[in-house]
Amino acid sequence: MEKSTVTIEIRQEVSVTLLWIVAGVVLVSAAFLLAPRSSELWTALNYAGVAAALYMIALLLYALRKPLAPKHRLWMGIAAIVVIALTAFTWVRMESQVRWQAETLMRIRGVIGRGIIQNEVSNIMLRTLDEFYRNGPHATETLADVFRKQNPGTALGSNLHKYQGGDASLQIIVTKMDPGLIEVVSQETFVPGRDPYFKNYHGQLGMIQEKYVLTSRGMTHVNEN
Amino acid sequence: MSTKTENHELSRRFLWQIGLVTLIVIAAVVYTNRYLTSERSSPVADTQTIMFPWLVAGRHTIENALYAFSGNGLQEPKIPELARALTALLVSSVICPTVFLLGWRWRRLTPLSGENPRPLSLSISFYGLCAAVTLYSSVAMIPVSYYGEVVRTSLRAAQAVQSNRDSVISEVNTIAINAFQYYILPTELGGGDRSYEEYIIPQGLSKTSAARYSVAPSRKEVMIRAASAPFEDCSVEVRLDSTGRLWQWTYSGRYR
Repeated sequence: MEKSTVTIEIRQEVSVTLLWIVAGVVLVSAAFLLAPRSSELWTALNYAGVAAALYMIALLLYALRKPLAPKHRLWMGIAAIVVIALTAFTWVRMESQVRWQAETLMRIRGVIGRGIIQNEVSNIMLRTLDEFYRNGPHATETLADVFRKQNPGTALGSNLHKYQGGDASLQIIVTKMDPGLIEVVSQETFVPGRDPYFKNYHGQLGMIQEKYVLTSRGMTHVNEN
Repeated sequence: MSTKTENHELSRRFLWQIGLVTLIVIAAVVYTNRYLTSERSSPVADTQTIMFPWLVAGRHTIENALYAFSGNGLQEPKIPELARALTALLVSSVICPTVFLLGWRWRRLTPLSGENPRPLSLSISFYGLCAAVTLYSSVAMIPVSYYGEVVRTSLRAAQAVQSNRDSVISEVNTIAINAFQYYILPTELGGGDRSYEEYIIPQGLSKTSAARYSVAPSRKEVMIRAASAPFEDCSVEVRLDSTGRLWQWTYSGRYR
């Protein structure tokens, strides 16, 4: 049986190219895979981007060394620096832009949430006040009586929010129901407010919360978080 | 019998093999990603290029923001997304620039002689492919950076108007609540006793950083006007009736 042997000759420039590629792939992949895990892709990508930039600088220093003609070194060096700078600029701007867009989305959600709270709670409270004064200044019914009549079955701790389309994120909780004073606290269950450490009525941390108090003198509102 | 085969073109075969493996990896990643993308429902359109890894990361951030907007938990990047971002980075900043730059250097240092031109081979083709990718991604950076800035500026300008409009609507609602409360309350408690006629906007609400507000009250109705403070062409008008209902919202300027 005949055996044949194939000898592979690798030219120096090819082996050097291969070495550079292997080193670059290992360096960039390691930086990407060893970066701290997060729900964002940016962390891993930024680590790998820094590794890739360092690799590119080393590669440029190697590729543009003597005995290349000075004009070639100059032009390629300038072009490479411009491309690296533009890439870094676009990369950083893209990250800041999408983060801003993500924050804007949540801010819009917060505005929507506060708008719904204001609308729903003031509607409930002012309907009670309207009815209270419709009976005349010497009516025998208290504010709490009118409130209970308009919101049957309401007790302390009741949620007055009418669920629409499965939206269970908003809660309007009755926290005080004295004869002359009604207090409700309204909170969003997933939309962050100003203070991330604010303790919400139901024990969550940092969500939007507003308090409304109704007396015979009118309604007052406190933006708690 | 042992035969030793010497082949001076083997180095080019090696380049050909590197090129083939690279293309197979890219094709596999793209195919896997397309396949898995069609399997899952995403609120964000897929990016059409694999050359720029930041597009993959940006898409993931926006996708997570939309999930958070709807009250869902944040998603960690999936394996196809990770593979796609890493592949894009490796191709555009390691493999292609290395082959291009070192090949370019080698060609500069060993110029062609007229009698011995380089034959067209797969290694030349692979060098050409890498050079094309490197030059494409380099040249593309100029319009990408420029249009990125244009879009960024126009988005921020549009969002500034939208944010101002949201603030104005919120403050108009606050004034409407205050006015309706005035309508309900008896005169001895500072109210209008079922009339808007004497209503004036409280000091703190009539002028804010978002807008200046004015009212035109009649007995059963009050017209609330808001003129945007930062955007002079923008204003809102709305009517508040005797049941506390806001109606006939009219927006002008860039609020429309």
